[in-house]
Amino acid sequence: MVRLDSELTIYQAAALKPQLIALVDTTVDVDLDLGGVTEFDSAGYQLLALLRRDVLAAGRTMRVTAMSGPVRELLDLYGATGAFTGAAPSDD
Amino acid sequence: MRDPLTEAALGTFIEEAADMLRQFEDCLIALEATPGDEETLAALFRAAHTVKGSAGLFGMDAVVAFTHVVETLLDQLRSGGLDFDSALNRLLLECKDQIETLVEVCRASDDVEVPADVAARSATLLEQLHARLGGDTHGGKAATARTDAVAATGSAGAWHISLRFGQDALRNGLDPAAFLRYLPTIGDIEHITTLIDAMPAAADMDPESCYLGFEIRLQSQASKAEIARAFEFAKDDCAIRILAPDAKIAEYLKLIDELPEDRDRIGDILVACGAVLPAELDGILATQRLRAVVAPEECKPVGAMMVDAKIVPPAVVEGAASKQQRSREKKADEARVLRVPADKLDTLINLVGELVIAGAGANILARTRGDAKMQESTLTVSNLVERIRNEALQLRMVQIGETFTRFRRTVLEIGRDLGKDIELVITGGEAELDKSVVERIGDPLMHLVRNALDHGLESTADRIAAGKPAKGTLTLNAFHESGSIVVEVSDDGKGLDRNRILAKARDRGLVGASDEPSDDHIYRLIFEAGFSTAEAVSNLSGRGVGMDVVRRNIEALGGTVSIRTEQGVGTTFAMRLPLTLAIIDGFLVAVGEAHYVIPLEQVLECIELPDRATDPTRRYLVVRGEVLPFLDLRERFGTAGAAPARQSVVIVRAVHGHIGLVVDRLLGEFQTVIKPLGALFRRLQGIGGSTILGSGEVALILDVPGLAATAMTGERPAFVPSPAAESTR
Repeated sequence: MVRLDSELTIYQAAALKPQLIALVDTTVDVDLDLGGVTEFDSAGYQLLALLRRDVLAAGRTMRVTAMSGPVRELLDLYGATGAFTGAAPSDD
Repeated sequence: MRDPLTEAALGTFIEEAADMLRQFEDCLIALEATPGDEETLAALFRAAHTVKGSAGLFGMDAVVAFTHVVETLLDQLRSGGLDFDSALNRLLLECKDQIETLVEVCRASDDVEVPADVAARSATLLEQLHARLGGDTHGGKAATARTDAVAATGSAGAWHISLRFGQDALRNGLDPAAFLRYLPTIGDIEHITTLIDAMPAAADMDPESCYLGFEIRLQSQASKAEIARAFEFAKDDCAIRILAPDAKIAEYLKLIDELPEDRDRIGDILVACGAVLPAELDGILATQRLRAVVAPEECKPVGAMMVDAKIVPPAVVEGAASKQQRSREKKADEARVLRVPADKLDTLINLVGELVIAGAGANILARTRGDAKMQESTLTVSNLVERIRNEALQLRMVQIGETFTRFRRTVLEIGRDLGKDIELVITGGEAELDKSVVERIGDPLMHLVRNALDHGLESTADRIAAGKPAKGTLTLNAFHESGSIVVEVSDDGKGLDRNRILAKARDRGLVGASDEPSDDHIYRLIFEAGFSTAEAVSNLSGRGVGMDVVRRNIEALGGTVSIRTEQGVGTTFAMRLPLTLAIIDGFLVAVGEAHYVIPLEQVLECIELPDRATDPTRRYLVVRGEVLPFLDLRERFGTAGAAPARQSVVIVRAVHGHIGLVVDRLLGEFQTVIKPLGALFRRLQGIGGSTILGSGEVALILDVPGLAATAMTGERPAFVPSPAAESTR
């Protein structure tokens, strides 16, 4: 279980990318707690999507277990909430 | 809610919209003279189009929806599908007013409820517009336009929008989310699929690049152009493809072809969106494979098949590039004129006023010290400050022409209502005056114009009978004269009827039955409250409210109004106004320790106060045979201390004649910057503002009409208008 407590936007994307991608190389399923993410934009979304793609490709699952308002708003807007919470089957 | 940035841009939009609507009105008026003029029709269309476009950016749905129909009609006019007539002109003028109202309603907030009466008005006008649109039955043009109108207002449909953002989008500050968030304002998002297919392997992925794509199904009544406009700002960084609700399968085929992703995958997405049925997809994909084998060059259907193709970079097309260049040059041209909020200028002028005062203080100090060099340098500073003040005041000067041209419509409409043929002649439109004055003369001017149209100019039949040209002329003129601006409203009508005014005045007891006042005095009577000689009260004027308001408004501005008239030839109303309200030429007087400034415009003469010890309660003087009531400022303002042995009387022009103001000392002429009184003192009667003297002392600026009004209560019998003296100036 990994918890992010910061902004997750284009300003942090470069710094956060290595840390998130490192999760791909672990051996457990990835559970992300995004309840403390205060700001979230498309760059943040791309990092999550990249992580999810590569974790799935490695044969494991990736789920977002909690999300803050800004995260939910953007995932809803992108029609991706289901894919990230496991509530709906993936469409990609 | 709007974010602060949008809020800031809103002000610019409101101004732009006002400009465009003014242009719209000007075009309509020009069309009255030259119906069918293509350039004017095009300008008309552009004005409506611009307002609609910008309103869309601010989420002013009510404005967009209404203006769209107006635009559709204008488009038809432009293409010749509809004929222009004066009924249509009138309808469009009303539509312009409605757009103005809607913009006003929407400016408060983007999710504002349109009040029921405004909405009802919209509905009525839309009905009339549709009647014009639908009523025309000949030719194919009308038929297409009708479909357009229906598409604009009625049948909703599901659009398919395909977006592929470029890698630099995020770096350029474009977050795709911003565009998607906007979509609900023009329709309902039925389905959205976010694609990250363009994202490379983790090692190569640049977290600041954008790899996103979207396939969107949007239920919307908006037009293609409106939807495209939602992505206007993204077009350099995003490939946009929009398919209309009635897009043919072939168009989806082309879409699948063009999109970078694998065609089976796109096919699945389109099915998921509900854009195509699974069976159709199978058909599409099969056809495509077949065609690829048989005739590969036909794989790319012609562009015409697409409702909207991928946005082609403008630089590719020579013509488009040069067009862009031209519009850029135009922008640069516009940039030479700055729009500055009026309050910033006010602050500047206020500060310059302080500077003038501080400079005067330094001057006095230098003089009392007897330091010649110091004096010289303060003098130089004073001169510069003077110039800065004049320049600063100049910034607020605007030409009166624009105010005049607004009357074109009034004249046109009222002329039509009254069945009079009237030509408006405008001269001296380039005369400049302070913006604050311009804003405040609109109402009096409007009343004078209406009055001239209604009462001044005769009906066409009467004109012909009187041997005059059938077409009446109304002239608006302005010119500068000794530090004031004179604004004239003239008509070549029947002139004021001296005898009827006199009879009416006697009737109302304004003039004694046996008095024979001068012509000038008689004509001034029409400015009395409740005085109207119109035989029939029309809905324009003639109710006797107005002319007195006109006079009061003008006097509140420190101006005067006069009349020149000749029976059967015409009437001219001349308003003489100060060029600015920020500075006045004043006459400085003192009472005890206190200083007062009397607007010089109102000062007639100064005399010594005759000894009144014989009767301290007496409140009038006799000056050259005229009774002159006076007001003791010492008494009025409760000044401490005893009056000096010799006092002076300043005779000033007041509403009903002249009054005297008793003061201790006369200090002479004085040009000064007016500072408004604080909120606490605003209701103070008799004081119009304040100023600071070079010595740092505060001087109050007297509001003479206000003072006279307070002095008059209970003292009316002592008050006799003196028309003879009135006309001396």
